[in-house]
Amino acid sequence: MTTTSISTKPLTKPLTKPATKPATDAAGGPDAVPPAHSRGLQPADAAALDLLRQVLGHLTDAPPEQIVPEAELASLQIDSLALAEMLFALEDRLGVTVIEPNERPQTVADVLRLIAPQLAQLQPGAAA
Amino acid sequence: MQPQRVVITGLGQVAPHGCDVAAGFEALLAGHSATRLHNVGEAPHSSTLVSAVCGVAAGLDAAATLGRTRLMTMDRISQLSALAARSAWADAGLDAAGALSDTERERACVLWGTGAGGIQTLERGYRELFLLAKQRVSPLSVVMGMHNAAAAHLALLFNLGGECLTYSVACASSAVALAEAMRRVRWGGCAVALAGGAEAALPYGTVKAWQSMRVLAGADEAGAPAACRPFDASRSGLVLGEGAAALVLEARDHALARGARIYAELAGAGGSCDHSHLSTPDAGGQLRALQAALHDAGATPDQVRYVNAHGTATAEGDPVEAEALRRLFGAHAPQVAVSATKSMHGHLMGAAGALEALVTVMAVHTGHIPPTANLATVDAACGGLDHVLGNARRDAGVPLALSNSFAFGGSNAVLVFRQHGLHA
Repeated sequence: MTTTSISTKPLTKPLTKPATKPATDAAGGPDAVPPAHSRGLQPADAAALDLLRQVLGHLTDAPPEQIVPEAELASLQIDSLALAEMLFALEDRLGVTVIEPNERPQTVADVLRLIAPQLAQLQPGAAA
Repeated sequence: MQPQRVVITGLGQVAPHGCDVAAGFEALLAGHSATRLHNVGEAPHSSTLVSAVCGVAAGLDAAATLGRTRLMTMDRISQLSALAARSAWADAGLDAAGALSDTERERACVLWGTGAGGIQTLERGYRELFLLAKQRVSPLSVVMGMHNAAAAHLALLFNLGGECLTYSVACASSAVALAEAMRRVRWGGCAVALAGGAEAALPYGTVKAWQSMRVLAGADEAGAPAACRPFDASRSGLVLGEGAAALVLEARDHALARGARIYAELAGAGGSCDHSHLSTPDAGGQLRALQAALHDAGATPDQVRYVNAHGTATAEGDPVEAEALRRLFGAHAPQVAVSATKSMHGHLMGAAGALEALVTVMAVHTGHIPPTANLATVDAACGGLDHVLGNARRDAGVPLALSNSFAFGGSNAVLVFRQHGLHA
């Protein structure tokens, strides 16, 4: 008989990755997303989209290929609670205190615009 | 209006013996204990604990079953609740389109029990703030940690529009929830109620609090399956467990009209308060609940064939319950089969009443009576009853059975289950 550990975790993967985790995570599951720069986006935008796909991979069942700038958050099952958790997770990843939208973001592009300044301040390569 | 007879048409569990109700009951009949030695917490804040942990990871893919968007808003207690309730709902055939009319669905109730609610979310938040010195916690902390989160998720999951209530009465929580559900169905408030309870309260902080009370059984790995010994002269304390159990309660006429399978009738419920001590139980208080329950069911003590005892295996508790049962049954006491299945599935705290109600329903439904495992020498103070030790009593026939739940705080709840079709 082996002593096992009691799970005090939820039955899904928690959002506990460090803030500086590179966006090009090669692991499986929701992190195994085709790089966004292959879609013809500018490198900075592509890095932001990759980061967002990673975060949303934990929050929604929407497949990564649906997470594109023009997608409505509602169509990705991102409701008010998921939005709050998404911003929290993005803040964690980017190592910033607060992303405070003036208006509630409606699309993926809205979120990308929100995090672009924070992403730009990261050291080169940190989120590439 | 005429009271409705209330029957059980669906059962679901996420329990230490797994997620399959029939297989779990068979394990209990076979006397298989699910209590093991586990590690709790993360070093240096960790401890070993004999406990009974539900086996979710092995049997169910929660993300695939519930969806990631839903899952990420759920504390573990809500996840266990949802998985158990989903099984019960399907077991009752209510997942089929049109099984309930829109009106029936809008009136259907959720009555749920938990002692500690989303305590893992609370502990995680405190850990991040006070131990890891983070400046903030997840924005979902409030909605994941609140006691009524699990019940709310069940209403969301099945689109149920009636009352959605949570009862927190320590270890009687989900028995109280079942009693309240019975009353609503009986008096016509709803044709269907989803009732039961869940507990996922084994984070380090909670375990330390229990250990400080000095009521937990200790054992090494080899001794862990036999650590919980209710009514035994050598008993050394209770074994904590986690899990969820869900029952679908339904007006009998409604169940008959749709051709549902009926496991048993929930014929009555009774409650009382000891009003004598926060944690020391009182036989007089328990007797009041037992008598109230039988009166509610229109039954007499001599009709009871089986009692699923509260039987936690604490030094103080077991003799008090035995005394209450002896006083209830009088000369009939030696003919009433008594077993404490906590010896095998542990004490699920707020979910204990629901899981043991489910076990009692299965005993009534099948006629098989599970034993008290690890009971070799009945403590003299717990004697005078027909303790089921060793082997299960198969094909005993159980026309009427009781399930006892006695809580810290002195609150007692007793449920009465009757074999379907026996009542005139």
